[in-house]
Amino acid sequence: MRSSEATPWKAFLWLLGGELRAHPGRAALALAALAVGVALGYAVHIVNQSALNEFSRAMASVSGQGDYEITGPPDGIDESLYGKIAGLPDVGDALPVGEADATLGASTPIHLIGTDALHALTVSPSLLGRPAAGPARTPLDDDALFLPPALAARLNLAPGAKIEISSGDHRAAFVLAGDLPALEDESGAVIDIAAFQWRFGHIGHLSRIIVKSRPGADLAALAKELLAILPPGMGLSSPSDRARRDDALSRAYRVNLDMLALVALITGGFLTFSGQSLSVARRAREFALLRMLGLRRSTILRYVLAEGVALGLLGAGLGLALGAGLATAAVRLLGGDLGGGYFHGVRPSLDFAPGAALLFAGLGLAAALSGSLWPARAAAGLPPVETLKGFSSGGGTAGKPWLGAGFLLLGGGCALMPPVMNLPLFGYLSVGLILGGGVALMPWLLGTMLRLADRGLERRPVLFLALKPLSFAPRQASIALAGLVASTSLTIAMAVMVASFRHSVDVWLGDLLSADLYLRVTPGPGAPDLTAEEQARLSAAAGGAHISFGKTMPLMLAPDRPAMALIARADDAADLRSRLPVVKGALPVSPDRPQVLLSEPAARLLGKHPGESIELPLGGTQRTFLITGIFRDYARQFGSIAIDGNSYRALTGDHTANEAAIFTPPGLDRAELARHLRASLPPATADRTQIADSATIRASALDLFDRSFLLTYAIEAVATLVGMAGVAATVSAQTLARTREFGMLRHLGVRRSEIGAMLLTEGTALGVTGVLCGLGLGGLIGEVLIDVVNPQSFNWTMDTVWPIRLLAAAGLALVAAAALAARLSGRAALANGPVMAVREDF
Amino acid sequence: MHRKLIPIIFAAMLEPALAAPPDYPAITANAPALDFPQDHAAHPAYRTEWWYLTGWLKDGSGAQMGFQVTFFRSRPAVDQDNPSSFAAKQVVMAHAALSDPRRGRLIHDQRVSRLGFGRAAASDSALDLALDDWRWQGDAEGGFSIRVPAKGFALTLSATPTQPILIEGPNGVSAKGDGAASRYYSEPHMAIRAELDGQKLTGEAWFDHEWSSTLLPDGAVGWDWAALDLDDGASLMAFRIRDAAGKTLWTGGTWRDSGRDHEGAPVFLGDNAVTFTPRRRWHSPHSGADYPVDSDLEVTLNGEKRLFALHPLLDDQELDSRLAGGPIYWEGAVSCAQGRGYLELTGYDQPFGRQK
Amino acid sequence: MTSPVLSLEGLRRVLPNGRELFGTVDLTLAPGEFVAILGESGVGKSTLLNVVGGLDIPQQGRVLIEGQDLAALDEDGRTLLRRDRIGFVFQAFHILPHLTLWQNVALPLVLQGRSGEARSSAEPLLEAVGLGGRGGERPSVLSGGELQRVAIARAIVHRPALILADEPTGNLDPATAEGVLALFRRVVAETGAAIMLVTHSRLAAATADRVLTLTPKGLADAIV
Repeated sequence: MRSSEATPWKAFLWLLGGELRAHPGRAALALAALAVGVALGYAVHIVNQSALNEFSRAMASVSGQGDYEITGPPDGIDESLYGKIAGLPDVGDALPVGEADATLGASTPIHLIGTDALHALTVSPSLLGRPAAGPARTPLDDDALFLPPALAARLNLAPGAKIEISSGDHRAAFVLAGDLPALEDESGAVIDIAAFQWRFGHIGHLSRIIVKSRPGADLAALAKELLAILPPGMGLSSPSDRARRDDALSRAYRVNLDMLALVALITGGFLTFSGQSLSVARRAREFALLRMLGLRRSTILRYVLAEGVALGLLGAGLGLALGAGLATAAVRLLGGDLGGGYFHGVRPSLDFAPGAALLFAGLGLAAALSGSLWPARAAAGLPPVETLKGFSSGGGTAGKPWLGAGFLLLGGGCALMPPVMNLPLFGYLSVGLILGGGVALMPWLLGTMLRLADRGLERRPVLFLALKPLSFAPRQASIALAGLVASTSLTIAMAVMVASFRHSVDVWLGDLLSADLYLRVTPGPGAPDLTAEEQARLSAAAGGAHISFGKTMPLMLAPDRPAMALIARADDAADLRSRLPVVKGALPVSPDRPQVLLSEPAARLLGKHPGESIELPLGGTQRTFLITGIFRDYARQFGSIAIDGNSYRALTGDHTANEAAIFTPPGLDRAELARHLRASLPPATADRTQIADSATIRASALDLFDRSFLLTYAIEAVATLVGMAGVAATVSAQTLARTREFGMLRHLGVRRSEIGAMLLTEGTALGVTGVLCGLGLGGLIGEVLIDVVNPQSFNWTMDTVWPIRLLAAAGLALVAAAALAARLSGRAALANGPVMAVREDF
Repeated sequence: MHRKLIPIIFAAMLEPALAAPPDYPAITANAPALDFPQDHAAHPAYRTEWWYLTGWLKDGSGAQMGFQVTFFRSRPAVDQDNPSSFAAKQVVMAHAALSDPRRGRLIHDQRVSRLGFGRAAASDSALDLALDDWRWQGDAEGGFSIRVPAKGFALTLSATPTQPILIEGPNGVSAKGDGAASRYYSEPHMAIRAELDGQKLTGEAWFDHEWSSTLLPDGAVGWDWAALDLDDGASLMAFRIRDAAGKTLWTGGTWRDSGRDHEGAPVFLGDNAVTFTPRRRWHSPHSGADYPVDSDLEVTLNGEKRLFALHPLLDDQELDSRLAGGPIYWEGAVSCAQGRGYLELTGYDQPFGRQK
Repeated sequence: MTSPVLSLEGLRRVLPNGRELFGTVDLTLAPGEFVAILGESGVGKSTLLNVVGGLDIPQQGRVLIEGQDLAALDEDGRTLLRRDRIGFVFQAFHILPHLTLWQNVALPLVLQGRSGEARSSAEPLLEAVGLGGRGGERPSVLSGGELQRVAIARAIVHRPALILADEPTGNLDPATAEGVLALFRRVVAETGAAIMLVTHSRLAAATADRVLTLTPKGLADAIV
């Protein structure tokens, strides 16, 4: 009878079952690595996506059916614009909206919306409260509060319930008057616009005006009418513009987080590779036997790939479940923000996007499959006869460095490419190529290193026995290291990037905070800024200290782009330059032309260089300025433009200020001075004034930085743990595979302790090599992150700093993990005693 | 009397405890006499006020249609200390409706806004009302011009008085039952020249101006009201206020005779002098309410009963003012053997004042 | 008379399940003496060998190697004794794939810290087992017979007093086995070491000076 052409899957299942029963732990580890990767990726993605959706939904909910929306600077739109807009011929209706982050009751964050119920119905019906029967409040009542039904239910609030709302320094009591059946923003809370302005300090200001066209009006004509009356700096957008801008706001950050999560996934892939390779090596005889029994090469290939698929599917499934759980927990603990600050106060209901689930499951499967491909080919390629004798186990020569070097070169080339669609796609490709190249270079590198270490090795039996297997088969040893190198290098790259960023921010803060005290005024009702008279009072109160006033305000340059900041500071251009961390340009100050300095993000976003000119809407008209330099600004990702105070006042006639830098003579009591300054202001202004010394500002800024990188640290820690687990797994698998060797050595009179020492040495050698390679690769990747990915994502640059202590600690931990794993698995390998170990089959 | 048009947003029954509540003037029987033209203007201190024009128009071919234009002013019970320019201390609402038998049903549009920002105005020195691009401007002689570019139709008209002002109640005080009263006057038989979507029309209309702070007695759920321009020049206004059981709580009205007498003193109809007897009810497919659109109106005038058998111009003259925060009610052109006018039926959808 | 290389006195070994292996064994082995122990599978031949090698502990009796009582040594002491005075030959060869032939042979010397003489000692032995000049090769190119010859060279490179061989020809064809045994006997004779060979092959046992049979009742002279 002829054999069937079909792959005998039954045999595969027998073998797989046997393998799983014999070594469940090994499969579990590869599985765990994949699952963690998929889980992190999926969780980060859905939390971010859900938060963005929620954010957009909240925005869209507010804007409703409006055709256009007028947005102003963060401190609000002058409400007189509302009447002007409502009176335009093509405007059908207009809705005034005030918005603020607020807290309901003790601790429930809400998106507080003040609006006009009389116009909500035609412009944005979802904002129209539906009064409940009991409390007899109408939407116009000063204390009427309307909440989405889900929120009211969650807080157990019934109509008529009294509850306090606080926002900033303001608080007021409200009565739950009804619900908002159509509001999609689940943290939305609607009150009357007049109550909003009055109770929460927004008299005279609106956050946005939503415009509904007259039925049959031409939208383009309406846009023209609107643009004709909008003051400079106001934004006009349609819902599609808004969606684009919301997305742009956090896109780079989200992509970065997604990529970070992929790091874990890639590590999982490499661990699969290590695990499968070793498993193939261990089962070499089994495969050889199967070949002898008549299985074709292609069948063996399919067997091993099928294992990879099984691993991948299982890992992906577990990962998705874990990811959904993680995301739920993260949202519960952190909200939708994940540290980026873009979705502050947004608490999304998670959208377990099936598309994203499929994507990340697919990536997990791909990682498992590509991790299995090489081992599968190796298994299929085993020479059956020699393998059965026990001599060929996928070992090989050190190989040539060309492939790896080629990858590295290609990666370097990619690093020089510009961003694609404002995302550093080539930067990420470069990271991948460098990683792949580095891992491909490992066998050659290890072989070369061991050849150098080989001389005179016989004199040290432990070293001799420990290192010989490595130099005999550097490829196999490298495989064992692939997971370690991958996770180490990515961890180190992230550590270097974050440390560099933190250091640069620290230095930048030092440069920026050159004064001793800083004073800031938050806009308040009626009088947003410090008047000239208040400034004079402060100057007088400053006494011996020098006080320099400035003003920072938003400057809207395009409706579909977030506002930039205009910083008017210092007296003249030279003074201004001395107080900003200028990194580029520094053209000579020319006294006859108005000039500005751009922050790095502004320069990149606007495509401007020093020496060029720029048009800015200032003082009610467009004016041309010379760009004399580029300064570093990590505070405003969307760009800032600095102008000296004298020019600003001359061009705009605006003599108000909202900030001041105070330079104190040595020995002055700054706290006393701060009190003195505050006392010189009228009480209403003093209430809105914050005075802080530069050290406090610096500390709190760095604290903020650390908090926003919390998730990054967490992912790093996970990557390190996955790396450690991987090292442990590969080393112990290798050790267990050599049980027979240890048995023989015990017969020959090698002490248990010596075998332990030998394994410790081997594990340490592997660990050290992996960590050193990871360090080198991590450094390279870190540079790509610093010089390519970050500038292309966030438009700013930073100086490279190596966090030596952190790196040393992480390196030592990884080496220790390797050594310890080897030592512990050595114990397991010796557990059955030398007698069992040398027996032919067991 | 047009209490129906107190929109729900003004009908808070249990008012919030305000630091500075509005101080609504009360109306008593010994109120000062009405003073024209000053009293054509708004009286912002009172809780509610309206200017109301209903009538019949005909085109060159003689085809008839009903129309109504109404401006309301309201003073909601919001905190008077709120410094916000948006504080809803005054709200203006307006309706415009056409009852054209050729269209088969009433068409209408409405506007509402709080005072200020150029969106709404109600002058307290002359009759001058504005709501976005809707406008109602009076002249010194008691006439006025109205411009209502509404959704679905554009109406401009001028109204000229043909008879003296008619005060609705002794001294212009209209009693509504226990503790409730308003200031109320009318200009019946106004001559109308109108332009509707470019088409010239003429007609006759009834003008009401009424303001009050306490319009309804306790227990009232709605009312039936009619104002008739009789063909001989006489004028009749009559209403009854119903309770939840459909029982009459209060009635009232005014009669002014035809001919030489119509410059004479009006006859005020007291309580129990008015009855509305339904002959046919129309079931609204929109709201599900049943309205007595065919009714016999009987008034007792100087001891003599007079019957006015009212017939609607068309059945579907239901007006849904919920878009502007108001109720659903029936407001339609009616005719009888003696003349034509408008009938208003409120509280048939649900008790007035409890609409959501 | 020289002192014996190996003395087994009243040796008993009971398995954890209570089954007693090979009764009570008494045996003395003189230097250079080659004893073969026959026996059916399961009778405890390998265990006996392990007991002798200090890898297994008897319940009763003593094992003396060159007069040293193994029971008096701790685990480390037994290991060192093995390293210095015993050579092993296994059925499955146990040649390390990652070492060259000479390195495999010289392994015991390296373990003793005598790496200086490792290559010079290993090469003549490879010559003696017929693999002269191939010391730099890897084991993967060798046949089974050749591998066992490397193992034999490894067993004598450090001049042990006693060589324990467990079924050394079990994986070889009869012709190869005969050659390997002849070689085994010859090269061991040159070192003066005693050999204890356990096998179930009468052919293999025939090479020995003395052939004993291990039965559940102890050692008996075998009828060859």
